[in-house]
Formats: sequence, structure tokens, C-alpha cells
Amino acid sequence: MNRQGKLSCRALLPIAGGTCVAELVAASRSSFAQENVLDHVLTSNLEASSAICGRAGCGSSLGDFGSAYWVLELVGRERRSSLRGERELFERAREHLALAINSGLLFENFERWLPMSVTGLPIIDAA
Amino acid sequence: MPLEGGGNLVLDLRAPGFLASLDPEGIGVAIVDPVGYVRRTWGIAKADQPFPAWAHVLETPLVNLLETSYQGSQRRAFLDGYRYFSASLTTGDVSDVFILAVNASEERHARIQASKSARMAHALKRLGKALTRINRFRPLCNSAAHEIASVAELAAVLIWINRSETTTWNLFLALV
Repeated sequence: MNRQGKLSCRALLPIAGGTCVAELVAASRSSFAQENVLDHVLTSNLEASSAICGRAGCGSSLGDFGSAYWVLELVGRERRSSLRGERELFERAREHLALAINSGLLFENFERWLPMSVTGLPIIDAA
Repeated sequence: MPLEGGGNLVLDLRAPGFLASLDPEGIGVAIVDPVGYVRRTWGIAKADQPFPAWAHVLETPLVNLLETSYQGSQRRAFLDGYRYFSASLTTGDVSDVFILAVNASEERHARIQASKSARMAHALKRLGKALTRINRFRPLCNSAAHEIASVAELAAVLIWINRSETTTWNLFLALV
């Protein structure tokens, strides 16, 4: 992805007119699949124009974790005609990733909470 | 047809004997000469049907089947949804190959399904390794995105986050 694509991807504000597949997936709470990213209004501006160069696109909801909604989006390579045969694989990967993200967030929250509960002192984040 | 006292009996028939009573939509026979030309066909192997093998028989994996059968051995092969059985057919000085072709769409479907299952198992194994190795969610997402992109041969993997207090969608991770 080039710099311009990254800048346009970084934040999309729906009320300012921008929209994306993630928003649609989150609103419908279901997966979204598109045979060619150039053919759909939600993907033709972002995925197709920001040098991703993919053809088939697929967005899948990961779920609500840590007061945020997560969406996984996958874009196939140009030479591939369709991702239809991979939908089952993506669904399984999505489930595994969703569970892992949830576990990761819980682990980090627990790490933050544990020293405070033991020492009574707040954590100083080195980063 | 081999005779009991030795020698062969050759019957030049329009239909392939008792095989003609089988379903011609599911089974077919062909006789191929040593140069690779198809002499006679019946059933699904008919030349006027869109049968995949005969157009470029010498450029397909069936050429191995023909070569072995010209030397007197029997072979079998699977190609494009058809199962082929071959044997040498010698009549006098001419040595042809007899090929029995069977529609194997169930086998094809099973092969595709098996291939898909094996691919999924391999992908989930790799993804599972990546996910169990890391506890923190940022490197975990990064590692998982790499694994998914690698096993599924993708152009991009994006992970979006919408914090509930805002309407902005943030690109948490972009692997391109």
C-alpha cells in the first residue's frame, strides 16, 4: 500500500461521507463478500484505489471486545477469480482469531490489574 | 478375446459387446492407435462429444497410460473427472490400446473435498500455532494476519476497529 492509500485508510468518518466494508459488516453483524473489489461502491474507493490490487474481497465480523467492534477484511490476489471456495476457511480463521483477540485483551487487562491489586501502585507504561 | 486353446478371436463390432448394455452416459470405450489417433469410440468417449481427453491426448497425462499399455501392461489414471483403464489390444501386427473411460464425478468431488479439508487443516494448524505462541493482542493480530495471508494467498488482510464512543473506523492492522 502506498502512503496516500495508508493516509486514506487510517480513519474513515461515516458522517463525513466516507464509508467502508467494515461499517457495513458491523451494521449487519454478518459477513460480506464481493467477487471483485472494483465492482462495489464500498470497495472501489479504498481497496481498489489504494494500491491493494486485489480482486475478490471479503469482510467478516470479529465481534465486540474491550468496548470496540472488530472487523476482519480479506482481499484476494488479482490472479484469483474468486474467494468463494475459501469462505469456510475464512470463517474458521475468523472464529479462532476472535477467540484469540478476546483472550489477548483479557490477558493484558489482567496484567494491568494484578500489580495494582498487589502493590496498590498504578502501572507506569514503559511504552 | 483370448481363446481357451490359445490364440485370440477378434470381433469387429459396431458396439463394444456386452459393455453396450451399460449406460453410455456414464461409461465409454476408445481404441487408440500407436501414433495417438483415436480409431473407434463409444459412449462418453465419443469423438463428437466434448470429451476432454482425445483432443490433445498426447499432451495430457494420458500419454503415460498409452505408452505403458503399448508395451503390454495395464494401467489406470484419473483425469478431469474421468477414470481411465487401459490395456494393450493386439490384432495381428497392429498393436492398439483399448481404453475404458468411466465418469468419476463422485471421485472428483471427493478429491476436491479432501484437498479442501487438507488445506483447511494445514491453515488452521499454522494459525493455531501463531495464536497460541503470543499472548498480547497486538503482535497476536499481526502474526495471525501474516498466517492467514500466507496460507490463503491473499493480497491484503485488514483489521478494523470501531471504538463504541466514536463513529470513526480505525485501521488497526493492514497487511498488504
